[in-house]
Amino acid sequence: MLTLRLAFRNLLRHKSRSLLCGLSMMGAYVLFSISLGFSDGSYGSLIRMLTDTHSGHVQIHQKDYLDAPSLFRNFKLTAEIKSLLTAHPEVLAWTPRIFSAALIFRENKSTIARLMAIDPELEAQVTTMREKVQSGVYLTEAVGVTNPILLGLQLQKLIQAKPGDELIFIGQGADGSIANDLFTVVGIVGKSSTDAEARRIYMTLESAQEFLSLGERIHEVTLRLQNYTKARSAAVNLQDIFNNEQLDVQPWQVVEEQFYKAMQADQQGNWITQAVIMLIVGLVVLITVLVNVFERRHEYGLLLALGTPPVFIFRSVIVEMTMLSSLSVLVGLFFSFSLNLYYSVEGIAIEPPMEYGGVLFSDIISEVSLFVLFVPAVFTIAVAFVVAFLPAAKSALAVPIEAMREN
Amino acid sequence: MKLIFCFVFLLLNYSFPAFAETSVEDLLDRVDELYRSDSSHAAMEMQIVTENWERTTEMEVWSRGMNDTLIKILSPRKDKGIKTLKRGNQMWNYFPKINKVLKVPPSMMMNSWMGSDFSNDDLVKENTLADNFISKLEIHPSDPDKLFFIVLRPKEDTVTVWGKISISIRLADFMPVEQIYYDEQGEKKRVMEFREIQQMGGKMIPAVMEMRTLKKNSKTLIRYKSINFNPDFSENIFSFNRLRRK
Repeated sequence: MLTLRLAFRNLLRHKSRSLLCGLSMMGAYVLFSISLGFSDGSYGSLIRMLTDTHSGHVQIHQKDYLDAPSLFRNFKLTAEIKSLLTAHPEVLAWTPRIFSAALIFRENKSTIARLMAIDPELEAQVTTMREKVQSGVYLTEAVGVTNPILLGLQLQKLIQAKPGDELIFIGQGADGSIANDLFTVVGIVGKSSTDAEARRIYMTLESAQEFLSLGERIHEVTLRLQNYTKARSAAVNLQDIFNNEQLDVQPWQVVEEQFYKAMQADQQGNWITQAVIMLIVGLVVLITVLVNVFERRHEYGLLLALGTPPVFIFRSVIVEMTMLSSLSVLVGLFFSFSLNLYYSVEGIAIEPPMEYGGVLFSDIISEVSLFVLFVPAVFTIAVAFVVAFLPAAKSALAVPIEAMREN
Repeated sequence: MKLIFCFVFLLLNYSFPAFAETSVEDLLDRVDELYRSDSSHAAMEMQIVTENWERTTEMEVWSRGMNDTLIKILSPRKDKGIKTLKRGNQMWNYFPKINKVLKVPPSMMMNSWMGSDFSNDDLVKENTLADNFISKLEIHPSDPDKLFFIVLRPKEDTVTVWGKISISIRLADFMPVEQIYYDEQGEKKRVMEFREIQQMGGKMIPAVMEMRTLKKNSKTLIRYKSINFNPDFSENIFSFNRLRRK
C-alpha cells in the first residue's frame, strides 16, 4: 500500500514529466486501437456486404451442389424444412432460390444470361435485393405482369432493353425439354457493369419453376442469422436438426470459400502491419519508461543512501510505470472508443471503389468491440510493466554515491 | 479351284439362305426405309429415361422420302405445338410459346434432339447407310444361324463421328434387331434395339426402338402407335412458311 501511495505521489510530484510520458503511452494505445478497429471493421464490413448482398449467412443445397452446381441437383422445399427454419431461434429470415442459364433474345440481339429465381418478398428479408433496383420496379410491385424479370445493367446494355420490353428466353428444362418462354423486363439492377448482379437476370420462383420444369423443386435456401459470427455453429446445428444426408448445410465461409480464403490470407498479411504498430507502441513505452526512470537516478541514489531497501525501489519503479500506463490507457479508452465509434458510422471513402473477392466496397470503416479496445490496453500496460524491469533493476542496484553524482 | 468355289457357294447358301437373293446394300436400304416409304404419317410416343429425369412425349410425324420430315409434339402441355422441320440436311425448330423459328446450326447437329438419346444429326441424315458407309457382311458373333451381321465403316468423304456401326438383321425376314455405334477408337457408344415386330400400316415393322447412350446411362424408347404409309397430305406440309401455323 505504501508502495502504491508513494508511486502515485511520485507521479503527481513531477506533473509535466508524468503528463508527457502519459500522453506518449496514451497516443501509442489509441494508435494501436484504431489500427485494430479499422482492420476488424473492414473485414466485418466486407463480410456483411457479401452476406447482405448475396450469400446470406448460411445456405442449404442438395448434397454435392456446391462442388458441382447443376440444374439437376435440386431438392423439394418441404413443409417440414420450412417449419424447422422458421422455428430456429438463430434464423432471422430465409429465402429459396433457383439458378440456371438461358439464351435471351430481343429483336435481333441475343446473349447468354445467368438466371437467378427468387421469392421477392422473402429475398428482400435476407438480402438487399430490393435496393439493387436502379430503374423500374421491384418484382413484387410488377402487378399484373406475366413473367416479370429484373435485368442486370450489363445485359441491358448488350441487348438494349428497357422496362416494359419483352424478352425471349430459351434454355434447358430439368426434364430434358427445351425451355422457352416470354419474359417482361420490369426493372434494371446493378450500379455498374462490374457488379455481380449486372450480369444476372432475376425472376420469380414460380416463373422459373414453370420455365425450367422444376415443379416445386429449388437449388438453394439462403438464411439470414441474428449474428453472422454464429454461422458455423448454426450450420452444424441445422444439419443435425434436418437429419437428412441429401441436404448440405454450409456457412458463408464454405459457400464463399474463395472470398474467405482471400480474406484470411489478407488478415494474416495484416498482422504484419499490426506487429509493426505493436513494435512502435512498445518502443514509445520503452523510451518513456527509460526517460522517466533514468531522469530520477539522483533521487534513487539518495533514497539508497538513506537506507531504503533496493527491493522497495525496484517495486516502486515497476508500480509507478504500471500505474502511469494504466492511467494513460484509461484516458485513451475515451479517445479510442470515440474515434472508433465515429469511423464505424462515417467510415473513410475509397475513391474509386475497390473490388475484393468479387465484392465492391466503397469505404473502410472501423469497429468498436472489446477486442479492439482491450487488446491494445493490455498490450500497452504489459509492455510498460516488462520494460520497467531493466531501469528498475538498475536503479535498485545502483551505487548511491554514483547515482547521486548523475544529473 | 473348282472345289474351293463349290465350298464357298455351299457355305454362303447354308449360312445365309435368304441372302442368296439379297445383297448387303439391299439389306441396308431396307433398314433405312423401314419407317419410311415414299411418304409416311405416324403417331408415336417417346419416353426418355436419364439418371436425373424421365419424360414422355407424344408426337405426330410426317415424312417424304429421305429428305423431308416434320415432327409435331402433342404432349406434354408445356411442349405442345413445338415442331421440328427437316429439309435436306437442314433443320429448324419452331416454338409456339415464343412464336420463334430457330435454325439448328451445324455446330449443334451432334447435340441431343429434345433431350433424347437421338441427335439432331440422326434426324437430318438424308443419305442412306449404303451411301455413306462401306459395308461388309460378317458372321454374327453370337447367333450366326439366325442373324446377319453387317459392319459399316465410313467412306473417306463421309462426315460422321462414328468409326464403325454394326447391324444385326434377322435372316428370316430381314428385320433389324440391333444397331451398335462405335467411336473412332472402337469404343461402343450407343446401342439401338428394335423390338415388337408387328404389322403396322400394311408393313411389318418393329413397333419399338430403344436407343441407349452407354456413357450417359440414359435411354430413349420410341413406340409407334400407328403408321400410315403413302398417305394423302398436302405437298407443302414441309414448307418453311407453314411451320408457324397450328
